[in-house]
Amino acid sequence: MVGINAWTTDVEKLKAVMTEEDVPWRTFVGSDEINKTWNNPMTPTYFVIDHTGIIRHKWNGDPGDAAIDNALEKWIKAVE
Amino acid sequence: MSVAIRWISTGIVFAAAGAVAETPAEKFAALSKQFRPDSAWLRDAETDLERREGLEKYATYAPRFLALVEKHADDPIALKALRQAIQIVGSRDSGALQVWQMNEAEFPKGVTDGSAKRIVVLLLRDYLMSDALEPICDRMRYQYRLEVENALRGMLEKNPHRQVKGAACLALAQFLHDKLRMANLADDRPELRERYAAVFGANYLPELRHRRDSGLASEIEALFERAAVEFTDVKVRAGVVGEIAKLELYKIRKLSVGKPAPATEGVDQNGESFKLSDYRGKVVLLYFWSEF
Repeated sequence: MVGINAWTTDVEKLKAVMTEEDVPWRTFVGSDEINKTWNNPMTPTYFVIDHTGIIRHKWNGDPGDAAIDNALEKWIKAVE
Repeated sequence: MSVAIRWISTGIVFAAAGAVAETPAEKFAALSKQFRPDSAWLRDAETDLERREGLEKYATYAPRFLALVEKHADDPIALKALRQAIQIVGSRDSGALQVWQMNEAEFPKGVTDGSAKRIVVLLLRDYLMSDALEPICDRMRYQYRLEVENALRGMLEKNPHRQVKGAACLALAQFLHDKLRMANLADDRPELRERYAAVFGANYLPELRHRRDSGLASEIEALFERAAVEFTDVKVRAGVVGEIAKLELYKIRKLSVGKPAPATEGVDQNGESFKLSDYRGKVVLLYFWSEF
């Protein structure tokens, strides 16, 4: 799992937030380039990207754990 | 003697009625004043019952504002009252979805007073050529009722003013895009299917799905394209039509299922550089989050 926190552009600040909120996954610090590339999605937004780099699922808003788990399982199987 | 008294009392009654006869503007102001405290129903409610009752009371204002529109069609307040009715219908529906999410009991019944339909009929019949419809397009974009599509299409095709056409084109694209998102989200969440049926009726989701299967995504893309090309410089409340439409097209074309994830490079919370492509060979869940 890789995070993007587009709101926080300062490394120190992000580290502080992640420590406080107990966020374990590696997260990109927000930058103009990232915001432009991904078009400032509302939070939460999720993308499932397969092992070749293709976007396979996209959710604006929380689709629920079951949907995410099913999608991940499907594309992890595709790697095997 | 008794006849004279009857005449006098009748005269007094008529005089009294004349004294309280209100102009359309006064009626609109009076109704708006009554509406104001009731419009804070969600903020003020503390229990399930208060939420349900507050919502149901709030919803009754839509037909009341529409009655003003119908009675005083040529008065300047008519368009204001129509805009108010549109806002109430939208808030009533989004409020209902929220109450369904929040409550454990006391679920509100879906409102079937036909207000959305009335709004569309009135707009197309009496205001289609108006140059003051941009704020109405703006409000309609957030509506849930599918009838609203006809109003937006009508304005796009028949209104002679470029600003209105541009606003309608963009609003229509966004309206349909939101509906597509609702259909997609409901695929994964059974509680949403139940909720949509309760609030909008049993046919709502099936109709959205039917549109999705009949090429809704392409329709949406074509509308954004048209907005970007034909109405590039039109100014709306949210910004400039061309810019807004181009951003949406970028998302649709580059950031959608089946497309390669765009190259992403940056710095992590420890100050170390890394790229999304470093994870090639693994499945990645990319999660946009914020601490808010």
